[in-house]
Amino acid sequence: MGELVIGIDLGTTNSVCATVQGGTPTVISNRSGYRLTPSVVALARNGKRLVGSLARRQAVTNAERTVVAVKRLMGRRWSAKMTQEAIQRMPYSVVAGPHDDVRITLGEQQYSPPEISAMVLTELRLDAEAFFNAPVSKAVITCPAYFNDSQRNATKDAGRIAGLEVIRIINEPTSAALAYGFGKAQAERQVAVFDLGGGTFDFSVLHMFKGVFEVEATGGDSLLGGEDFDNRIIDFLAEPFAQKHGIDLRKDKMALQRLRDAAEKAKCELSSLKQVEINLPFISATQQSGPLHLQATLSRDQLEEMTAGLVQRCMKVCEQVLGEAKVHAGQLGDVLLVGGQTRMPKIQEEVKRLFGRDPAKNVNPDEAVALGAAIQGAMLLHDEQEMLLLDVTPHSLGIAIAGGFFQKIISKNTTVPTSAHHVFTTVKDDQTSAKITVLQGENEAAIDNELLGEFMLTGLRAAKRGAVDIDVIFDISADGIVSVSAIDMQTGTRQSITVTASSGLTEDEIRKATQSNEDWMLAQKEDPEFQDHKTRAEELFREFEALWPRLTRAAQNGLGQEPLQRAQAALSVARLQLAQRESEALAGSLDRLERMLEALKGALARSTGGR
Amino acid sequence: MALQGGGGRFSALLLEGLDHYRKGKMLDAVRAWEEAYLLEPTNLRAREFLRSALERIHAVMAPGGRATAPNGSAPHPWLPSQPAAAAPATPAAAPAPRQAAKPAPDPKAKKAKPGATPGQRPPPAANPPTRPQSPWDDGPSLAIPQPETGDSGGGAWSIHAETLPSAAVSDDETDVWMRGARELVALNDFSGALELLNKVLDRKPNDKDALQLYDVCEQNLTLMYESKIGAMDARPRTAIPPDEIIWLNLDPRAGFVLAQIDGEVSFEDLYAICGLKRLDTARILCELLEQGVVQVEGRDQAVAKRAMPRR
Repeated sequence: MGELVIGIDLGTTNSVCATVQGGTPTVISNRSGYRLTPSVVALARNGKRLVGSLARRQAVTNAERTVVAVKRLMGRRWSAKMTQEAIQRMPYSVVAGPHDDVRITLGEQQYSPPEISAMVLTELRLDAEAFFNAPVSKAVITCPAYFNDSQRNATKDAGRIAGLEVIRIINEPTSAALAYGFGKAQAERQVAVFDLGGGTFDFSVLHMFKGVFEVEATGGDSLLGGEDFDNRIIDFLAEPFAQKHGIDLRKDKMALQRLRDAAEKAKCELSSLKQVEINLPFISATQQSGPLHLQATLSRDQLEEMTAGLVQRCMKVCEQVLGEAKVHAGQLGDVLLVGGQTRMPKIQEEVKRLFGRDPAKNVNPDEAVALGAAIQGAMLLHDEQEMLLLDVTPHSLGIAIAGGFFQKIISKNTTVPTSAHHVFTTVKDDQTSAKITVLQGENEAAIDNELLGEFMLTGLRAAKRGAVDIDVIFDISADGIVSVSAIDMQTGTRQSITVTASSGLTEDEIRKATQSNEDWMLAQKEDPEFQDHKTRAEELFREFEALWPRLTRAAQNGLGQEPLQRAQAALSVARLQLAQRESEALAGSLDRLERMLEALKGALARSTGGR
Repeated sequence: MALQGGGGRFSALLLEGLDHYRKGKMLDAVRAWEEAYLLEPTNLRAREFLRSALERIHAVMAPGGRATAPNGSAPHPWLPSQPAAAAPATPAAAPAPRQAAKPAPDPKAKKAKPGATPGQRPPPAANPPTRPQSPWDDGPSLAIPQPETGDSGGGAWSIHAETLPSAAVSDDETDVWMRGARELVALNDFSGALELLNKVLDRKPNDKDALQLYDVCEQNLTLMYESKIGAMDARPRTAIPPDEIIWLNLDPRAGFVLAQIDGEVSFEDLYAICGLKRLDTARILCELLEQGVVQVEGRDQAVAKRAMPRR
């Protein structure tokens, strides 16, 4: 088997892993058989690390120890306004990290957002390895078009921690466009990508020409997604129940978890059915009436009515983004649907109404982004230059200059990889050092842009102001990683910075996290010795189970309860050791169980006179 | 979902018997427990208590201090006969085998320091009596921490030895409950002990002994349920149609656990996703299996018991 590469859509709510097999992009199902893996990580009450659907299923009942939507915190600074707004809505504990970054408390430990994302990526990697039955070490990971350098770096770090070499980070709309078959054609084309996922809505306008994918405009609502539609259904179910029984099910964690599961299921079914029945038996109880059941019918019309406001919010964002890009909806070559929520017929209808054309839906909207990433991965792996995609910088890059202004050196939407330079000069007499503050953004005022890093260029020649020339060079790699150097053109003194720590983790922290993740993976792998013990234990359990009815009768006929109690306790201990993977202790318990089994068989034979 | 019911009179009699038992008034204990047993003849707890008290009486009465009557038959109508050649009757949770001969309960002896009356005590651990090995003698060791009484003897049946907390004689109600809980633990009645411990912890939430004993009870009960559940990696599924679930007699927590069972999630994962205490999840799963509401492929199944028949 040749070198393997996977494409990963690392989503806010769900993640998908894909690959290209025999020239066909294919989604890799996870080990539970599902094509989507929820981007949820939890530390269960029993101390087990849960990732994916199991973590999601206990997200309501164990909210404090369940990390959802960590993507909102990737590469964010603790002091940033966006971070503070985001953490208000998070049920888990988020604290300040050592480098003005963000840390998440999970049980006794604190994790950075890349470490949490790495747990999801590790799960996807293990799924891929189970699919290929071979190790996987290379990946293309997607991120939203608006992600800045810090956020992209954080995504890349997450991949590293998960043991993956991230060969490229690509924009989600670009990836979706690839999956829909664009990019091969060299003709110039403008398409819109309507991405309504579980937790966010993104709308982008792409301009494609000769393999260059330019995100002409992007916008969205980071607090609008499929979960809002679920919440409307939850309200629809809970409110009449509260009126009838005086119990608000939304305040009962267990009931809310069941409501949430049922709401999502009903919503999905209503994309193909006109009406669904919702039955939640024993959802609550009162002293007077005993157990209470929730039974309701929900029609597609009712769903559309209760979510009309959400659909309209999406449409407003589209109109706004189109207005900014000065593009008329009718001019667009295609509209691509991405994200599971776009399966809702009403959304497809509204998209058609706005754009005056049927949206393209020949690719599964949940899977489009991952499939595109897999296609890109295959291209990179096989060095298919004629089809190689080129991304563009999502934001302008430059430095802060005298007066608090921002001087752009690389403009937004420049094709990467790229390099650009600009010559600056000193602003004071005998100035021997200069602070280079690297910024990213579009605002004229330096303070309104994102700080990527800063460094001092020292040892400048003492001279009158304006007499010393400093050349500032920006390099952006194909992954969007920025390197900045400054050179005193007279003396050749040089200082540089590579923006690597902006993800919030230092190199040392990444190394430790990677090691810790590898240790965890090793611990998950069953050693052959334990496997033997497990097989032996299961055989013994079966033998005891088969013998138990006879033993019970024998206990009543003279053998006594005590040997059975002893055996039962020994079986319980062995089961516990098996569940907790205590290989050595299990081996000892199995020896004891075998002796007990022999003795019990002997006792049975004696009690039946050898029959 | 309680394992054992019981009215106020029944519980009062059990506690009264325990109090007598602790004080060495075996006949009074038997009287109280007999009455309790007659109130609820199916209650295993009352029967086990009664049996313990009777064993202790017979240990005193029997020549050489043996626990059985000289003719080997059951010496009391309430006391089930024991097989003559049976292995030492140590219950599941006992790490140490029960001694064949037990000293008579002597309230005065209780106040003596351990080892002060060698004639009434088993031989020291350094010189254990030679006894035939039984295949279940080296069984699992689920240690039950004993109260710090200075007595190293222990185990589930340590009630027969002189391990009762002598310093615990106090008017404080929580002390009485604690003693009761320890005695119930010694009788393998972990659910009964938990009831008393809950009362203690309501009054003294940080009581170290109570918390420790609570853990022991939880652990043992969980193991008991899990031994009935079977392999933790098995994936249960519902055994009855969804529209029949409504006829069951479940509480909302059991309803929640049942809602998580889909044939794809293992028992071990159910523990993780249900968010309940392991004991509660185990108890609910055990009951759902016993009632035939859920099943595991390839196992003999119980028949679903419905709260009311479908019409």
